[in-house]
Amino acid sequence: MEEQFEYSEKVMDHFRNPRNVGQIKDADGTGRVGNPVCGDLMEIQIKVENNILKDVKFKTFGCGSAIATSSMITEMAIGKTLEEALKITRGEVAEELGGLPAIKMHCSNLAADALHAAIKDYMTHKEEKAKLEAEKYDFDVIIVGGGPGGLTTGILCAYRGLKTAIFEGSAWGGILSWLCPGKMIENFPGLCEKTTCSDLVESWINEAKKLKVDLKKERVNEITADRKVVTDSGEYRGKIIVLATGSSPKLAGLKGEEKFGKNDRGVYYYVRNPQNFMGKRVLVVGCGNSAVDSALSLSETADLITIACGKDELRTVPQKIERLKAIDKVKVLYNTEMVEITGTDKVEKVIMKDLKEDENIQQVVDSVVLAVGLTPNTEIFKKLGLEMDEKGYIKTDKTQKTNIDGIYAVGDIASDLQLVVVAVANGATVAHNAYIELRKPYWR
Amino acid sequence: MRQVYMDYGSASPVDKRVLEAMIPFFDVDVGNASSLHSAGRKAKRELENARTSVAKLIGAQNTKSIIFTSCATESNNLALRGAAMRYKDKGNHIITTSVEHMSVMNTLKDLQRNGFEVTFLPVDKDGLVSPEQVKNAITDKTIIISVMYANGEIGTIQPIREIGEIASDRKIIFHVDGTAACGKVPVDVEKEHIDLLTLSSNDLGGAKGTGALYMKQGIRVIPFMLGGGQEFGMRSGSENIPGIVGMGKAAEIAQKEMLDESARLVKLRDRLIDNILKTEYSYLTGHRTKRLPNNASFRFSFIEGESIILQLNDLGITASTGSACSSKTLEPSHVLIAMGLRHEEAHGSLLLTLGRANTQEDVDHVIESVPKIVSRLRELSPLYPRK
Repeated sequence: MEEQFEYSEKVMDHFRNPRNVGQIKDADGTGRVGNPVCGDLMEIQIKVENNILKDVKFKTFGCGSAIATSSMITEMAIGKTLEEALKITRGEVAEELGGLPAIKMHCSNLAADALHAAIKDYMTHKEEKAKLEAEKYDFDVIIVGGGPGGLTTGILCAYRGLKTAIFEGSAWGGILSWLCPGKMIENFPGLCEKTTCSDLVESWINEAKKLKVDLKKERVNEITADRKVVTDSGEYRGKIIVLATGSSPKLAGLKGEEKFGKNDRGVYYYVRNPQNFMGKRVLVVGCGNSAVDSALSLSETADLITIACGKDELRTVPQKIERLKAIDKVKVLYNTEMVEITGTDKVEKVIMKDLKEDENIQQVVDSVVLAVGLTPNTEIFKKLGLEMDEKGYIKTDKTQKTNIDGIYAVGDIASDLQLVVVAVANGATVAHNAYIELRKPYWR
Repeated sequence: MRQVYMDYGSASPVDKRVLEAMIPFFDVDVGNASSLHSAGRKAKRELENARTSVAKLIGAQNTKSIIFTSCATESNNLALRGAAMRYKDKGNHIITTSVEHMSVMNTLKDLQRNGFEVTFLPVDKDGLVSPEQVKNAITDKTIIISVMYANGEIGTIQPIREIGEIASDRKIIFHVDGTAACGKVPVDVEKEHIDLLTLSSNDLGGAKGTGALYMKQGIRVIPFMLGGGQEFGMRSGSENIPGIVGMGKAAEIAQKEMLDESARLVKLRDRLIDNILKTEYSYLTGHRTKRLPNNASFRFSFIEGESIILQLNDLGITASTGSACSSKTLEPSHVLIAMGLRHEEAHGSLLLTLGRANTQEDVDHVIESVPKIVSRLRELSPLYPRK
């Protein structure tokens, strides 16, 4: 019993008025040392902000010196960095208290140990948290865009057992659904002239559902380099992100295009429904496949169809040229460039330039279809730092990988071929490589 | 602030009447009891008077059976070591309990290291040993049975008379450590068949530095203090006359006042026990009724004894604990452990021992203070379950 009278005034002060007693709600670390069997048990909790001990609290079962050292160390530790706090020794705590009776130096001087344990607990938790955070993925593969490339990549990834989601803000099937749903599929071996675009999209959707692909009708607003996809309704993390945002009809940049381009005033970019052109005089602008297709689809309803092609030939397959030639009401103007579209409320007239004669021609028309090609929807990826070519196509390697780790691109944004069959092939390539990257199979 | 001393078991104040009786022998009547001059004869007379008083207190027929020593520890050493050496030809087995005072425990452990066999009988949850246990432990080699009359730490009083009868039947030396009991409860060496009884002066209200050993006539032990042959050759060394006079006076007062004083203390003790046990997670240690009149001992879960003592000290209350933290060895009380308490339970012990100066106001101050301290320390304790 005489030992107790050897406590210094400072020990007794901390014993009588212990500082920072209690527990911290949502503590960042807890250290418990000692053992009630041996007589002392200390629990210290810490709150850490920016590597600094913002708060330290204790609870102690034990004798006077056990309580005093616990109280003392909370005062010593608050405000210190974790590294500084880890350097506080038992001896320093005792010294700060004006010394402790020799018999108390061992069992009842555990406060430094308890603090160190709390800091180590915090560090372990931090590491675990970071690890868990890093492992918290919602999907193996997230595909942005539900067109031909997106849907088929999704199907092929799910087929390999990867947890897959496809995000689409508007129509499933992309360009096939809103540009030409009723059109027969061409140049897709095996499907030609048998299947319409919307049929094909429907069968992809069914297949995707069967394979439990998560089809999310959410518009993607942002994609980050750490593979987070942000939509209006939430955030998702994917181990692999596949960009499949497809393409849109290119603007021609003509005088009058903007004026008549909206609200059915006579300028269109594609022929969605030929019936709307019944009995009309239509000018189709363009030299490529889409211009020829537009002219052919209009031939059953429109009165007169003129194709204005800036080059001296149409860029399409021979059989289509033959079919065009067979239709009397189709007229092709070669080496003819658009100058202006005019009219009061609606399109009334177009002014073109005959490049060979170097003179302007005027033609009275009811509608203009600007089939000047497609442009990739890659504008939103510029912020992400994806490498693109001068036309806006995303650069990929032969496995469809972009320059950013874990991000792939398929379909019209990655290839100026802009063919469904190419988009599907891209999907197959990505599914194969995603599987290797994520599952690390023995055969690779 | 009210100062309350409730650690009589550790040390007691000297009774004023005792002190008065002692004083002349420090500076006026300084003769050596072995001297032939009148001063010496006076000392001798007073020595024998004291012997008579102590003998009377414990019902000893023959005053020559009282041997004065320097303390109870010495008496226990002399009784056990001396009897073991004296009767070692008859056997080497000693029976005791596991709740004895350290002076008994360590003396017997030393004898154990020197060829004796010692049985430390376990006790029940109240700290009691049963006569049957003692009986069953006896062998042909048993030469000593040593059982304390009452335990100062938990207050439990042992069935001394029954054990004494067993020892007497089997002709085994019966030693009783009566330190905590003498002066508090009636002790009768004849009726209780006690052969050797240890007493302490301070526990009777006398000064520290004096003890006594009752040694039944016909029983001799081998002394270890050799010299001038004082105290019938059992304990050489000039007699501590002031201390012995004090002890005699204290024994005389105790004999007269013990019954009334004990009745008064029992009331105070029970008031303490009944009220302190209202604190949650608090328990009495020791037997509720077979208990010293002045002993109120408790344990409180989730807190530690030294902290309780220091906090009580700040409120003017002096008390004691069996916690490891307050011991030199950092071991909790062996008595509490022997009763089956876990270490962490033993750490939360509080021992209040009452005495002559304590009043009901003192008791009420303690009753008021203890729950406050207990809940304050529990606020600090990581073991206390929050509601």
